[in-house]
Amino acid sequence: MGNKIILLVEDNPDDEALTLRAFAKSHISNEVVVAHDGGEAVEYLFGTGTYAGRDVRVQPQIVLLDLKLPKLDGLDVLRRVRADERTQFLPVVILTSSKEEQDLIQSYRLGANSYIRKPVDFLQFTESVRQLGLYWLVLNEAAPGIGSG
Amino acid sequence: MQVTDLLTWITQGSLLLITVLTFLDFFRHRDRSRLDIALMFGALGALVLLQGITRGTGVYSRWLRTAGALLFLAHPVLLLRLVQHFRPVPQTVRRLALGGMLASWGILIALDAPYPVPLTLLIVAYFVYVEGYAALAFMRDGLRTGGVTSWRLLLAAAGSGLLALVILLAGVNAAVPAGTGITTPISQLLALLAMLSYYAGFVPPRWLHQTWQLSELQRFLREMAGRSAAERATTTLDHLCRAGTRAVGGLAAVVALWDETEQQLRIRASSNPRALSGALTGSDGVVQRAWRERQPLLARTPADFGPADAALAASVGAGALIVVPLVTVERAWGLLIVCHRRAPLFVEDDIQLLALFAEQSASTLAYAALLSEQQHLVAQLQQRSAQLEAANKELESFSYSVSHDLRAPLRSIDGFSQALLEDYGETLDAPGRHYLQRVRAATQRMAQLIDDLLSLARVTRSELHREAVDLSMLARSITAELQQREPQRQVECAIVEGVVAQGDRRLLQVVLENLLGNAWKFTGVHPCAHIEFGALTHEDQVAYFVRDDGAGFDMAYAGKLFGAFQRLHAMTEFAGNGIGLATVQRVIHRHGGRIWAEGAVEQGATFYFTL
Repeated sequence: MGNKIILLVEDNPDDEALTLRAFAKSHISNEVVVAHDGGEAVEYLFGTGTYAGRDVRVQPQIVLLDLKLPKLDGLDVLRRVRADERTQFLPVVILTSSKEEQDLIQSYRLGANSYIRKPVDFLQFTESVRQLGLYWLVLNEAAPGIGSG
Repeated sequence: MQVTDLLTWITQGSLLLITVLTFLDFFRHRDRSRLDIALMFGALGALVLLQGITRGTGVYSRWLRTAGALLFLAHPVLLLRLVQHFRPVPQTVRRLALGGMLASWGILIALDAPYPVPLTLLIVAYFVYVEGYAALAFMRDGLRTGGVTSWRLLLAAAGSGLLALVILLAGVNAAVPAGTGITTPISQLLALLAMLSYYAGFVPPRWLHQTWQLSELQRFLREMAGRSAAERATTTLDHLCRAGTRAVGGLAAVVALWDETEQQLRIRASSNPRALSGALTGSDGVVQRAWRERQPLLARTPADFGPADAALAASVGAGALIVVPLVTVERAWGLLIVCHRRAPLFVEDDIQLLALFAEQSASTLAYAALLSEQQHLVAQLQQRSAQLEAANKELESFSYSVSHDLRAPLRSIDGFSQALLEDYGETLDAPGRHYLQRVRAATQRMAQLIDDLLSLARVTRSELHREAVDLSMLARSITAELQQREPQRQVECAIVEGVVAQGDRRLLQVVLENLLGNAWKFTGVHPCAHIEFGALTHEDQVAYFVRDDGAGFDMAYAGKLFGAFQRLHAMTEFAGNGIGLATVQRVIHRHGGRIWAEGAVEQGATFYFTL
């Protein structure tokens, strides 16, 4: 799986810990960058603020985006990502607990690649993560310019 | 018999008839004006009568003839009394008339026919002058007033005028005997026409009378036609005042409406700005009596006025009042008060006509009240709707936050319990691991509960979009999915084809998912299960059913089936939190249908529903 980076945007520390654990359980050993709110995510992607000076050509292979985030909302992050030339083809998977139709529709309308509802059952969640990893990191062919190669 | 004789017969016959009718009329309603009318005709008829008696009995008596002529000559003075009803007759005219009458009488008594021409001309002059004066007075008043009264006055004027003409011709005959041949038939004709005019004017036949009233009513209605209901409501009272005044030739009219809050009559409209305004107080008088009795009343003279009546009359200079109540069957609205200078001659007509107008206006008022109540109700409804919508929106945002925020801690509980199990399971003993399992199981249940509750809430507030839904197809896809999830289960699904119903597609899907899901679940114990879906006729309605041969239920608890959180089986037997059927019931009820179930323990269950 190389050095493909995963960007996890999640504000809930419990969910963050569980997701990282799920990655570990699925033997996904890629570098995981965690952004704790929308602002941080945008800063990382475009190399601003706390991440100023980061090489912006190095983009994550996949962004796991929660919707309810403090400061910048998940959908706003998505909007920014799709608006910028450097990140417009970046695969974004919405990983959220909401099943509300309006969230679903808005996410796809703004250009999300996938929408996964976080199950409460942890075992199920682990399985979902494993499949996520397999698909996006191994199977999927990203657009050129994404990732490090 | 010559034409002239025939004409004479007709004229005299009709005159006698009319005289009799007027006297009958007087005996029926004993009032001054009728007496005057009867006397007036009587004066004319007496001559004819006496002539007839003379001819019939053959008794020629100069005195009889003279008496007839005297009475005939009294006619103009009697006619003047009728004119007095409309306008004061100047002293001079009255004196002249009286003088003329006495002079004529003197001539007739003292002398014998044929009379010297100058004296004849004197008599003729008296007659013609007074009749002419009366005719002019009637005509002037007839033109000034309106309605039925106008017609009658004009006819009376015509009658008087024609009669004057007849006497004039007689005078001409006396002066110029040569022209008798031409003038006599003309006189006869004119006399006949005069009789007819008098008849139609003073005692019109029913049909004629009603025709006039009808034309007045038509005019009244036509003025209101073509206006919107709201417009009519605001203008009807003013219109009533004006039309009422015009139709009966009054001075002015006001409409007083009953004010519920103040418990008194208040003047709301008038045809004359000088008229009294404000409240009509007092318990005496014609106005208050008419209101109490809900009957039309007439105050003939100022003597009949109560204090409030007098105030109103004084403001416009009236000497008589007609009061007509505005009533509909449900409610009494108020009064129409028409002021006259003096009591009208033909007052019953006036009252009848005004009553017709009043009825129309009362209907319009009732309609206006209905409209305003409707508007009020609509406003209330809109307000309620707005409130409901606001409440719904609040609920929606609440549900949304529930769906999101409640799950996160649940996920943490489950996740870390599992993490504990996986990473530190060896350090725990069996009961310890078991506890953690139970923690996890509980969180799963809670998650399911949240989902079901949200589903239930969503069902209640979502809009119903009715369309034709193929229930058979829906059932097939649901059972297919159920089979796919548990491929190891053997279930025979008998689904009747072509069952289509009118309803909301998504909600009906929820119904079938629940019912078929339940059927699937409760047949889980049997190695081979049967599930059916179809439709049948039940009490003239189409009823759809889902049947299974699974665990069934005790009919004794049938009432509890659809209660939220109600379960008829232990948790250990079958999973579930008891929301499903409550949701189904809510959907069915929103469609206006019914749902019920039949079953027996271990013999399966059938759920029926209508839409």
